[in-house]
Amino acid sequence: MQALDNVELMVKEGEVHALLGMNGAGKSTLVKILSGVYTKDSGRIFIDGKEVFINHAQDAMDCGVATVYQHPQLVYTFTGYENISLGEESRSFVINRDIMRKTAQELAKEYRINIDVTKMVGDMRPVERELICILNALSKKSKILILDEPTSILTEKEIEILFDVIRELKTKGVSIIFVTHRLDEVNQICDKITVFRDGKNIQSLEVGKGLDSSYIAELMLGRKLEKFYPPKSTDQPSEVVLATHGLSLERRFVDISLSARKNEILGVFGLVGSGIDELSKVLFGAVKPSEGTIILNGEGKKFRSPNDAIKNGIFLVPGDRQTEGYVGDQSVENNITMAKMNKVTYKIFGLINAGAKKKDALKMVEDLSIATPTVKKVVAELSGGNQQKVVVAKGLYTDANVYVFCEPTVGVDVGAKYSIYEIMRQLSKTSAVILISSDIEEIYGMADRVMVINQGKMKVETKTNEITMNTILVHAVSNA
Amino acid sequence: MSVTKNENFISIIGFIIIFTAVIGFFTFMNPNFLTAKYFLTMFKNVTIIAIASIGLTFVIAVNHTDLSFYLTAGFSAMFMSWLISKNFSVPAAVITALIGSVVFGFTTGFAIGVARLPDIISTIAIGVIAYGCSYLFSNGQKIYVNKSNISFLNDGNILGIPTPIFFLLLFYIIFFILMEKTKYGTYIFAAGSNRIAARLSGINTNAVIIFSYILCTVFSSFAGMISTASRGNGDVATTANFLMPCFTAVFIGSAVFKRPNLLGTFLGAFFVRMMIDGVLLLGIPYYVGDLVTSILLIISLLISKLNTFGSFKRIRLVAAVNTKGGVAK
Repeated sequence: MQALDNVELMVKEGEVHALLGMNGAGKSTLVKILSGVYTKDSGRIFIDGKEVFINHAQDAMDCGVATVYQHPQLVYTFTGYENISLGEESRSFVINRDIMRKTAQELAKEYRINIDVTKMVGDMRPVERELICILNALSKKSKILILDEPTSILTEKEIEILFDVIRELKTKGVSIIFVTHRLDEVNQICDKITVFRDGKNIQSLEVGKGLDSSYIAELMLGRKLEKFYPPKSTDQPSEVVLATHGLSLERRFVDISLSARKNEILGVFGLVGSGIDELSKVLFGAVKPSEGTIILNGEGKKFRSPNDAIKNGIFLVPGDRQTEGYVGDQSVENNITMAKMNKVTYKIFGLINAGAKKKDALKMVEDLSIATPTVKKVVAELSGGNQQKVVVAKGLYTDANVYVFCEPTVGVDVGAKYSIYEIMRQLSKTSAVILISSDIEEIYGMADRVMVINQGKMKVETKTNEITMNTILVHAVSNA
Repeated sequence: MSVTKNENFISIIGFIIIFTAVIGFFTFMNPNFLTAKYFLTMFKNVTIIAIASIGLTFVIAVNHTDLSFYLTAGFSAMFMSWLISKNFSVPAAVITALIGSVVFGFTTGFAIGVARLPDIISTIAIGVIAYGCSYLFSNGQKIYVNKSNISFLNDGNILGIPTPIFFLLLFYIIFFILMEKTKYGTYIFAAGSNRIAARLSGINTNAVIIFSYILCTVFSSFAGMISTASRGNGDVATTANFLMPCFTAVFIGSAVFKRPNLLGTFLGAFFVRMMIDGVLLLGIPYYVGDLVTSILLIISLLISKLNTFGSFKRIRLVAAVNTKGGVAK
């Protein structure tokens, strides 16, 4: 599969051009090609009508293309002005800080950026860090600025500051490629949009009087849902097994109230960075909530650790399986039994019953059809889909009452994907299942009930068959 | 996850060949090397290094390091000597001093596991704290202990086996089983290789780390006590020469068996001590022993590194296939 396929993008001088698309649509890939992180396989790049060749980060800089990432790459222990002139220090052996500071201040003044450049970057607010990055780009005479999801970690007030700066840059003839998920921002600041989907550019539009959100959502989503998911539940949902009331985590999400039942998969949809990953960690006791309660079978609970949550019958299949899900250099059998080793140990001294461990692991391998020659193989050597199945098996082995799946099918091949969906559906008959995901098709295809989280806030909760995929997406991307 | 799995066959054979070659070389240079009497002396020396390395093996297995254990061991040895000189009974003195070492181990484990301080710097600091404390007992002097009191630790017999060797076997058997055959061993290796995943599997990783550091100080302290018993005086310098041989023992073991393990540590300790004693027997000055040990350490680190590089390559390969949409086999 190609990450990008024959895409076209035209940006005029002094234009703010929004690049829209779902996760995996190819936005980041294009940004990385333009900034010299990746090298294109084919195609051409023109700046001011002249073809340029960008193969390294230095090439991009020489062409006047600068990228500001979500988490700016700055030296946190340096001051703002030191970061602005980073890589462009004067030629003399001794650095003259006075000149450096004055140059930086003049630059900021020229572009009407109101910032104290003498502050240490580590002490700055996120928006100030982005401004320092922009100033660094401007100090290198960059004419094209790529902002990669710049607003996702900013507060509304901070976003306003950033937008003022962008408007000023426009008048000075700087072209800006603005990568985002958020439609309302497009209306506020952009002149033109291009929508990417599955590595192709779908359409470019002028931003006139305002955009039709649902039309854009349709462009971003494209094709209708394929018949790929196991049939939904027909049984009556049980009593609430797990509920939360006003669950909050500082700076991540606020006031989340959800309820999960048997015979019903609850889907929680949110974009990457909307707080859904943190929500999964809080439900599992890995992160303590700053406010709110978790109610399990009608009883208020405070989980001190994941261990505590597992003992209470909750299991999380975490979002990043390589760093959170499995222990790569341990065997399949050790990984599967890891969360509930007591099932294969003798009463005394924690001695492992090697035969029982192997037998239990083999059964899991068979049940979930994990493709591995033996249960002794280390998990790092399996394919992504099978690694994820091992993590799921580890969860099943704990016999939990509540399963939380966070992004369960990222980097998983189609076959394994379907069997993971089937396992989830099967599980939902005996346990409460919560699916937390930024993959909208997955949510729409799997969840019986869906709720949307947008920038840490709960937006909507409804039965999946009473809402369209477009509406879900609109709830997730707009400030309505 | 047996340490003697087929994959390690080549490195084990390699180790045996080198081992035999070294014995052959020393015997050729000095025929006394292979006599029973000399071998027994050497075995006692091995014992001290081998016991001191047990805990360190655990610390390395949880992917941390400890540069304080040899100084903490000195502290405990001094503490014990001081208690004996104050007419405490030997068992009481040993146990009290070991409790002291537990306090140090817990502090280190807490600092690194819970407070997440950097392990190298913190253990250097904690080691020097222990070193400073050990002088408190003696104002910088040696403490002479009545040898008849404590000699049991070094010269006595239990069930007909010399005491140090009895303890060596006892500890190695128990902790080998703990590491290889119990769930706690699995927890230790899991926490060492992926701490986050281990925690999300319900493993109390902080407890695992604290436990490992406590083992490290307790065993090196016990080794320090045996060493004190053989010398007859408590001296801050008694344990100063633990550092390099212990690390070398652990990493030789880890190079041979591809991961930290007690069987390997034991063989490593034997090998290191044999090199040191062989060099001494040839009449080469003692400090050359340190030099040899350190060279061995670097070589074994290099081999361990090559091992992990190998597996990294494999993992990358698999990851690359996965992201390119390879179908699961």
